[in-house]
Amino acid sequence: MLPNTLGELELGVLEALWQEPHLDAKAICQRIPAIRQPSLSTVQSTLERLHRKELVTRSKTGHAYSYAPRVSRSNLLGRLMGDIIHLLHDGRLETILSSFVTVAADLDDKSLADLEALIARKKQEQGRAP
Amino acid sequence: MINSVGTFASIWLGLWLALSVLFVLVYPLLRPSLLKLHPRHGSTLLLAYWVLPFAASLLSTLILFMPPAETLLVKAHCHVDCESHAPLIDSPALALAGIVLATLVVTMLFWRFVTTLRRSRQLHAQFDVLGRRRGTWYEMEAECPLVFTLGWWRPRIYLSSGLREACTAHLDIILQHERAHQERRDNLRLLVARLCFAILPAPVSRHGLADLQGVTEQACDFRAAERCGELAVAETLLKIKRLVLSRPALLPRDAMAFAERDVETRIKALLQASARIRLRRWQWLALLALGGVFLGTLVGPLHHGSEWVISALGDHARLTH
Repeated sequence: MLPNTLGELELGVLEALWQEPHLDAKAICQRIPAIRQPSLSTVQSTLERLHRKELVTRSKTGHAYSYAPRVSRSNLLGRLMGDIIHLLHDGRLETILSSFVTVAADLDDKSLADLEALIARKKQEQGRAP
Repeated sequence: MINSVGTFASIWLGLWLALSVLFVLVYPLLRPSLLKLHPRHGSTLLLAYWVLPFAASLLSTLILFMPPAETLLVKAHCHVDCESHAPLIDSPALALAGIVLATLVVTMLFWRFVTTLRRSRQLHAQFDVLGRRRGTWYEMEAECPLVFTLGWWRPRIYLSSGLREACTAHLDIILQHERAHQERRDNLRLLVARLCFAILPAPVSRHGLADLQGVTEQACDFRAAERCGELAVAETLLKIKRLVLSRPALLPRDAMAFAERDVETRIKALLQASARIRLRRWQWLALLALGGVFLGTLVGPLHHGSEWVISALGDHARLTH
């Protein structure tokens, strides 16, 4: 499975924290869209999971914890893309997604140069054609 | 009832396995001709080829157990009496074994489908939150140069900002290629082919399925080339391959390509696009007719073969109607 995969609620909580860091569970709960608004205890356990995954930091403010994101949106996306590249590479995602070019190191510089020359020759041929 | 279901399950599984092995063995003989076809036609035929063992085994076994169709396709013959009959395992233990085996295979297929679906949904959910919609595609704020189409029925195109910034001039070609995947529902095609060949261990079917994947990519390259020209697509492929390879940190340590020399083959295919053969309508019809004849002629030998196997397997198996 993707090591950096997150559930919908985990992403919702992170989204709330990206928009406004340093919130407690209650405030996060209120910022999650009403359609999928979870209970406070669900948000607390989600925050606990995110903390274990080292995606949020927390500090005690009074009786409650205040949470802040430990990763930025682009950092998380970068990790996720990295997972995809690795899974694409060993074929484990091939029935879910199609990628334009694989990351396989299957061509060396000489092969790339040969292909370039081949394309250039074809271009010349087409240029000469009436 | 158990005997009928058990016989059905055993015949279907046995035939599926036998046809799958046969198709893998015959494939090297057909491969050169299939790869000479225009990739759009080649990919459709290859998909049909890999789906045929599953579809033919299921259909012919169903026909075998449908008296009106069975009477038409199986030469009349008598056992205890001369009525129309389907092969039947007489031993409840053997029939039960067939049911258990078929249940295991169907469960395995279903499990594989569900886990892949779950993974696909998880990825969709994440990208929906993390990505930004840009008309018909989604942009992902990540440096790595990556573009892909995700999903089966309504696939979406995701493109990293790293690739967009590095290849602004080639963006249209890349999106044309991905749109072709979207319209052809290639991920779904690959999934169907993979599930239909799931009865064989992965290393046995790997080569054929890799060909299907390769020809599918070529079909999308050719679709993009219809709008932008073969040379432009070939140049884009090369540019992106260079870009990807210039970021060694992206490469897994145990580098092993699942589509070896993929880009090289695709570029060469584009440069020799005019040499590819396009099938005409009558040729498609002839192939369809051939498939029908194959299915029709399968039922008779299947009936007698099953009866022979049943009598050989269960020493006391009696054939009843």
